[in-house]
Amino acid sequence: MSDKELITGILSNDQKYFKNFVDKYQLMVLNTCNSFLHNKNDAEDITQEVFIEVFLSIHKFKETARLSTWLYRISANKSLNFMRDNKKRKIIKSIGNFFYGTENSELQIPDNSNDDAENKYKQNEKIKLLHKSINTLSKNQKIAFTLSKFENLSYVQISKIMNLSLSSVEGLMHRAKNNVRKKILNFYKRK
Amino acid sequence: MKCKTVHKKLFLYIDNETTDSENVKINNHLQSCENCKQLYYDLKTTLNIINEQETLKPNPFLYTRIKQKLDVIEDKRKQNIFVPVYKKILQPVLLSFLLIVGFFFGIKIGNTYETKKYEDISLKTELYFDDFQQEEIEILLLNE
Repeated sequence: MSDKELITGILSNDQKYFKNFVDKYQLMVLNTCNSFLHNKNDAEDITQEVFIEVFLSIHKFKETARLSTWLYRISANKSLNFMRDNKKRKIIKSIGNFFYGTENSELQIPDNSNDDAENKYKQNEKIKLLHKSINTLSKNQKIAFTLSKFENLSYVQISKIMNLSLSSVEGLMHRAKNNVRKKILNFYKRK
Repeated sequence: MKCKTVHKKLFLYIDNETTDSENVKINNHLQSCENCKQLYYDLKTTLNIINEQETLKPNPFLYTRIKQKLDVIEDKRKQNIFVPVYKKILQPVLLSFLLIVGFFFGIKIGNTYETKKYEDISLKTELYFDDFQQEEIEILLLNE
């Protein structure tokens, strides 16, 4: 079923078309959200939000644009909004924990029984470092970097998703790479 | 090539975005400088995590969950169909009406009750309290 047929079907309020649309694009939306959030459960929640947004505002969609471009844009914005709200929640939670003690007071004992424990620890440290480095980027740099590196999209596609010129995306990517490199190298230099 | 220059080019080198001449210089430097070699390895392994990110599988219940949420939104919309009219029109009208009524009611009350002017309150009308009259024993003692 083509995108045009899907949109016409959804606009005529036919549930069958919306189900087909969800089935067709859920993998793309889910993995895009996961690229931003790095958390499966959060990504699934935001994927639902994305499709709800699509359903409610499909009448605003311009048929000259590509549906995937529109979906990437909504996914990126929803994910970044979630991250921003999550940051606020974490701050409030940490203030609460400061006054009333930590909620999760269970002692976590590292599993040393596994021979790979040290390797796993190092790998987790690298994952945290990478995510932290990406999260410190500005909003536009983060969108460009994530879509390029995690979703393997071309700069041309990214420029369409972000409504920017190709040279702006190139500039964003250049700065994003520089910032990520600095963060990672500074971490290893300090060690 | 200096260490600092190599560090700046490392990300581009990993992404194969450096020129051939730069590649040769960076290669030569990495072979001779252990510190830069280690940093190159660390940066490369950290960035490789991007390629190792797990691809999530589709959730068979996703559509059902979306449909449930959409039904809830639709129900709320039906319940709140008169809320915008109330909030946008009735609420300001009611508030303005109450303010006007309150304003005129205040003026009306103010005009009904007249307070006496300061000059009307004469000191003559006031009776001084003479506690000597009440204290006969003290007068008696004083006279003695």
